[in-house]
This record gives sequence, structure tokens and C-alpha cells, in this order.
Amino acid sequence: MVMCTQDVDTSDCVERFHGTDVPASSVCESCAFKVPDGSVTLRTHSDNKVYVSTQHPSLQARYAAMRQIIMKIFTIETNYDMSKPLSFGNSKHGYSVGLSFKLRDDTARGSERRYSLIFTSESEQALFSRHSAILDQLNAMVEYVTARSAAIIEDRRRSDNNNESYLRRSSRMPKNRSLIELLQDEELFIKLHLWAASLLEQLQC
Amino acid sequence: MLGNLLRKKDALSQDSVSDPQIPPPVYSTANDTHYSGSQLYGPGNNVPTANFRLSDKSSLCRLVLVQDSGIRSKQVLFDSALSVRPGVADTNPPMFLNKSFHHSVSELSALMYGYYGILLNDTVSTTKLHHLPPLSAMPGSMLITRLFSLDSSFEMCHNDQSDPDWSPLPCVYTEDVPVKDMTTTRLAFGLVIPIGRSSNAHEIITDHWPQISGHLETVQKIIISRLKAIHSLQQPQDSVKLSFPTGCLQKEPDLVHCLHQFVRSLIYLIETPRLYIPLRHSDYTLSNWANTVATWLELKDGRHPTVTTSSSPTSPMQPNPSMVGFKFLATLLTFVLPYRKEIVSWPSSDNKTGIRVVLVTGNPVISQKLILIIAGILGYDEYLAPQNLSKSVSETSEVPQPATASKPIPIRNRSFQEDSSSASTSPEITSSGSTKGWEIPTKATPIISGSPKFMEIARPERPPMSQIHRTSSYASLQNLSTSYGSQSTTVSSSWRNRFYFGSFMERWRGGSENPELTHSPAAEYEEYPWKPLSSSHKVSKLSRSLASLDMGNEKPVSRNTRQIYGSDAHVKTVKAIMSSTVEAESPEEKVLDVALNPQQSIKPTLLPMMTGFIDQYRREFSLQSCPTNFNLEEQIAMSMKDDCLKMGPGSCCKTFVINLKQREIRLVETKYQLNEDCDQAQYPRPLVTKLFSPYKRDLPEKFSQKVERCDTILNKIAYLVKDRNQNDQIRSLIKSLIN
Repeated sequence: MVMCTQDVDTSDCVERFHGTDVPASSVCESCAFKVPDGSVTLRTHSDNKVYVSTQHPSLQARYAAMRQIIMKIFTIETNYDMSKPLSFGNSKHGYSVGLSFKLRDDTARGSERRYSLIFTSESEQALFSRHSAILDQLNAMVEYVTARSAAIIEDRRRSDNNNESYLRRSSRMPKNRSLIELLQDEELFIKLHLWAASLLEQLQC
Repeated sequence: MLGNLLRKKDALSQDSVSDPQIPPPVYSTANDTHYSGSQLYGPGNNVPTANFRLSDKSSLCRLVLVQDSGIRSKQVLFDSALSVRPGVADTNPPMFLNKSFHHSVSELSALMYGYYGILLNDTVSTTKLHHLPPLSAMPGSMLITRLFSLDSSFEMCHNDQSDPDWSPLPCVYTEDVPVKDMTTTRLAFGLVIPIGRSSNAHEIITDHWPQISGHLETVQKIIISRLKAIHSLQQPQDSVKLSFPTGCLQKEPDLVHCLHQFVRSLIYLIETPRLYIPLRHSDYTLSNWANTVATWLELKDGRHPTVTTSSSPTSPMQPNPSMVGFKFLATLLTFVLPYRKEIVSWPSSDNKTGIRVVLVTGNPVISQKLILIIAGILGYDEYLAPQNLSKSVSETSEVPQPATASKPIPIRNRSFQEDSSSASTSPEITSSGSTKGWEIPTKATPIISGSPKFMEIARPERPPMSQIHRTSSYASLQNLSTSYGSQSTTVSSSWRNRFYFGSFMERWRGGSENPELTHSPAAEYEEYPWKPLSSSHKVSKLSRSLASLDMGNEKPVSRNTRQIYGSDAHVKTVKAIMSSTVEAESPEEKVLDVALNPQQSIKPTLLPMMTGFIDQYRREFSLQSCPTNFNLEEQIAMSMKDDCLKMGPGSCCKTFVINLKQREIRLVETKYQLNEDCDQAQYPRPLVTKLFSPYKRDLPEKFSQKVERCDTILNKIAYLVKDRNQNDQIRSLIKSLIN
């Protein structure tokens, strides 16, 4: 879990949802939620909601449900076409729609990194009645991220005329890299938070 | 003429009941411009068409039941797509699957159970939705899966999870965990549904998720009860784990029936045009509506509100006490209006109350008028102005390119694109239908499909596909006769209607039908793409008071049967956010506050489940009018019982049944009962109360006062109709009526 944005009623105690320090040993570079100034929580206020982004949901029950959902999306559930969304849910783990995508990266195992944008709701009705709006946003974001990543790779390929480096083994060794590095955007997570908050605000669920 | 039409429709509906494969003749008659009335579907729209017709492809729908008996070992217990090879005369013939129409079961079960069928400890029923890979005969389709576990007791219970931080809520009340959570067998059934090719084609499923969830529940219950019956016949086994032989349910008629029920329901949901009566935002619709109210009060309630000339329109006026009227409309509205929210938001059951209004009538024309009046008020707050109306003229007059058009795609283009997929099966229809369709001038395309000109041409060319499939030459003759009939109605029906309905029909026609068909001299050509020729013969019938009524500057609404199109702002939202520079401040340690720029994305508006005249009672709709049927009461009672079971404990269902012929309002009520056995006999009969009839006037004192108040307001509206500039006042009267 790299990042999780939740909406909180202003009447609720927002501090309960704030993130805690995640020990560096428990997350690798690729999964770290990196925000400037060493913060662990991103917050956005709107009229009657507060949107909070953290690495993990701080509430135990939600964390357990998210873990299950993520595990299912990456290991169990099958999907013939990865560009197509996958929806599933039950009365224990909630209802989710996920859209997966891959980013090319020579330093990743298999030369690609797999991610998934997942929208989860407690209410089946709320999720499916807004299914189209959610999917449009997920698709638009995946499109943006993959296009940016492709453009960066293309740029690098053009400027890369150093014949020496490709022979070096270390340049292609698998290593962990953050999305920030892949997309060359230091503020990526803040922007992702804003996008998720605006999606939740738009849906008001 | 009308009688013939109705008889034909009855015959068709009976056909479709006996053979559920045949899609219902949805709106085969409603297209008739004489009683469709474009006021019901928003400005500029006649009867809207669905941009995807499931009824053409209903044979591709499929139900599969698969049993899990370990990794890579799945057994098919039932598959509706299996068929006997033609020419094989065996008592137990081998079944085969046509792979150009259907996916292989292993492909489906991989999606239903996931990779390798990894065994999970989860016993909670899970619902999944997948896109299926394209097949030659089915370019797009989706798979709805219900995965559930069963133990040897064959009993399920409600999953009570009471964590305040995470308490998922399913659409329908479900019993989804086996009682004995020990050794369970996993079963999964999947429903394959063909969808269109556009990027939002999945909406036909996701928009109707509550109804689909209800069907999944029903199918699951039937499967469990059938498996229980099989198990009781089996020899007692040593192992506790249940196991059923392959194909054991293959000949089960109930499962086939379930699939047909499901498909029929979905077809009605997709293809029935829903009402859109934006009284708040469209002056044209408001004038039409107010006129209908006035005419109703005058002709049906039998009252002629007279107002002394001395009183100004704003002062309250008293109806003439000497006039005896039924006050039918006022009484009806007083009964129904308190349930406005429930009716409009059906079936999202937040408050566990389901309310339906059913008009039972033999005369669709009159019922459409009453529907217009009721739906206008009920949806007053709900029918929002479509955002695309506010577009500038230059934008709307652009001609969209059919091949590369992005959202929103005009209805007509898309509907024909979808239809072209069925070209291989019915060449005669597609060729004639599409060529005629494309001949329409393409300026201002969004309203073309709704124009009377288009409907007159298109209707004969696009009969329900099923008729063609079913019979060959006879069907084409039938269609010929309907098309002939529809074109000749303008001439022949006038005297017939006079004969049957007296001058009343003429009044309706003259009063409120013509203005929308009439070419206004003030209107631009773009707003009226149909030729003046098509409406010229009606000009003479224009009523005096409404001759000046036209659509003015109002733009037609672009919609299909279910929704009003929005625009696509979502891509811009992502780009705007991702390319902006963010400013954040840190009010406390380790917390960053970021401000949100409001982004507006205009999404399609899904219309409430309210419709006009349909050929039979359908439980999917909260407001409808339908013909009398001998077992209508039974159907209503059944649907209410099912609704209560789906809404769970504490829920109740009410149906207002309005018999127009007898001017009678009855209320049918039922409550959730603990005894939820499938056995019909054990479930208590619903409570039926006669609320109003011409011979029953003993309403409670308090209620009578409310009726009087409602009646006064209606009379005021009827009076204000005469002045065209009173729209705001009419609106404030409607508001006072609904509050």
C-alpha cells in the first residue's frame, strides 16, 4: 500500500485518521509514501468533509480490509485485459473497483512495475451508482501516468548516448524505485492526494 | 385504431410471457406520436431510444453454475448455453457449446474463482464484475459472478459485522455466510451479458446494480434449494464436504426461468424510456404541464373553475362551491406527494420503504396525461437542468463526426452504430433502417432522433427484432400493417377517436399535443430539423390559446432512455491537478494541509425509475401506467413481497393502485415478515385499503382539508395558465404544493 486517501466527516475526530511514522525498515523505497518536510499525513478541508491521505489507513478494521483487497487484486483475481477494470466485493471487506497498470522500468524485475488504483466503498449501492464517474477518473489518471512515464523513457533514450553505461551490469540490476523517481515529480503524492480528494468530493460518498 | 393497437399489444405481451426468450415489445406502440407526447421526455424529445438494445442480443445472455472441487478441478452443474447437436436423437445426447457465441467454461471459471482457484478461508459470498474478451459474435460482454460457500445444512445466515469503523453494506439484504462455518463447498454462478462497444457500455449493468443484486439473490436461493433436493436423494456420504455430480442441474427448468426473468428485467430497465419533466428549468415543459392540469381539472374532474374578474391572479381564490367535482386529482396528489422522495429515489433503499404508483387503465392517452401531471410534481426537485443546455449556440450547432465522435455522442448515431453489430443476423433490417436514418439532415444532430419526422420514418423500419427472428414472412406483413396504420392515424383516427372518446380526445389533441409538433415561425431551422411539410397539416388544428407556445430559446435535451448526457470534464481535471504547482502549509507537526480547487465534472444524470404507459406491470418502475390484467394484484403483491425481503427487517412496501376507469385509488401494503420461506402460501397477504372512489367520500377531516388546499392550488395553476408570463408564480405554487 503506497497511499490511501479517505474522506472523514468534519464531525468525526480527524486525528484518528492521521498517519503514524512508518519505520523505514518496514517499507521499501518503491512503497514509501514520500511527502516533503517529513510529513506523514496530507489533509484537505472542504465544506463538510476532510480528506486525509496516509500510507496506510490508521484504523485497524480498514487496514485489514485494504490488505485483503490489495492481495486479491494482485494475486487472486484474474482479468484478461489489464486495461479493463475489475470490480468485486462482499459484506466483509467492502466493495471495490480496481484499475491496474504497468510502468516500464529497466531496473524492475521483469522490466516493469505493476500498480493498481483502487476505489473502495462501504456501500455497494454507493460504489455502483457512481461506477462510471469513478472509472472515468481512474482511466484518466492511468492514462496520464503511463503517458508521462513513456515520455520520460523516450526522452532518456534520446539523450542517452553514453555507450559505456549499457555494458555495466549495475545499471540493470533490480532495485527499488519510487513512483516519484519514475515520474520525475517530487510533488507526485501531493498531487495524487488532491486528485483523490477531488474525486471523493465530486462523488460525495 | 387505438383499440386495435391495444389488442395487438395485449396479444404480444401474452406471447412474451409464455416465451421469455422473446424480448418484450417495448414501446412498439408508444412511438405513436399521437399519444407519446414529447412533454414526458424533456424539451425537444419525442420517445427517446436506447443506445444499446439488449433485446436484439438476449440469446447471448447466459447462466453458468460451477462447482469448485480443488485446484484446477471445476465441474459445471448448469450451463444455459449448452445445446443439443441438431439431428442427434438420443435420450441423453451429448451437449455442445457454440464457441463463436459463448466463452468456454474454463475461461469463465478462471475469472469466477480467480487464478488457479486459490483456496481462501473466506466463506462470505462475493460478487464480481469482469469484462470478457471479445468473441466474433459478441464484441463486448461482461460477467457477473456470485461466489458462495455451502455447508451440509444448506442454510445461510446474515453476516453480522459490527465494527463501527468498517461496516460494509450490500445493496440488498442478504444471507451470505453458511451457518456451520466448517467444511464448505464453494460454488459460483456467472451471468454473461452482452454490452456495447463504447467506453461506458458497462453502465447498463452498473446503473442497475440494485436490481441485478436482487436477481443474484433470487438465483442463489433457487440454486441452494435445488441442490438441497438433490442432496436429499443422494446416498449418505462419509465425507462431510458436499459434492454434486457434473450437470446435475442441467435440466432444471427453474434456472432457465430465472435467467429469462433476469434478461427481461434488464431489457425493460435499458429500453424503457424514463420520464424527464423539468418543470423548474423549462418554460416550455411548464406551460405544457400547467395546460394539462387545467384540462384535466376541466374535463376529467368535471369542474370549471370560475374566478371573479375583480380578484387579481395573486389573491387566493375560492372554487365555486356550486360546482360539484370529483377532486380526484387533488386527492390523488395528497395521497402520493408525501412519498415523493421514496418514489423518485427508488430503488435505493436508504429508508427501507418502497413506494410504487401504478395507474391501471385501458386508455394510454389519458394515463399519459395523468402521468405527466404526477411525475412533474414528484420530480420537481429531482429533474435538474441538464448542463449541456447551457452550452453556447456555436457549440451545439457543430456537426459531430460519427466515426470519431467523443462523448457525448448524439443518440441516433450511437444507436445505429450499436445496431450494426447485429447486421449479420438481420441484414434486411439494418440496411433499410440505417440508410433511412442517415438521410436525415445532420445539422443539430442531438435532437434528430427525437423529432417526429425521424420517428415517423424510423418506426416502420425498426420493428422489434424478435418478430423478425421468430417468423419470417408473416412478421414482415405484420410490421407492414403497423407502419401503414401509424402513418394513416392522422386521417383515420380523428373520427374514430371522436366516436370512442367524444370530444374529449379532440380537446387533448388540440390543447396540448400540437404545439410541440408545430413549426413556430420564430424558431430557427436548426431547432426544428424536421420539414415543415410533416407538421403542416396539423397547423389548422392548433388551439387558440396555445398557438403562440413554442420552444422559444430552449435547446433540446440530449438523452437516451435512461440518462441525460453530461460532458467529459474528467480528463481535464486530472491534467489540471497534475500539472499545477501545489501549495501546502504545515499547521501541525507531520501534517500537510493542501487546498482543493473545486473541479466540476458534468456526468450523465440518471433519470428516476418513472415511466409512462408500458404494456404490462413491471416491478422495476416506481411510477408507471399499465393495462388491466387479471392477475395484476397478484403480480403487485409478489413484487412487494420480494422487495421487502430484499430490503431486510423493518422494511415496508406500499403501492398506490389507481384505476382510472373507476376513479378509484387503492393502497396495497406489506411489511417484512420473519418467515421468509419461498413458499408463497405462508407469506401473509398484503393489506388492501380502498382510499378513494366516487362513492366513498368519507375521508378523515384532516385529510379533507389537505385535499381542499391541494385543490385550491391546482385551480390557481389552472387559472394562471391563461397568462403566459406567470411561470414563476406557477412554480411557487408547485413548491407550496410539495412542501
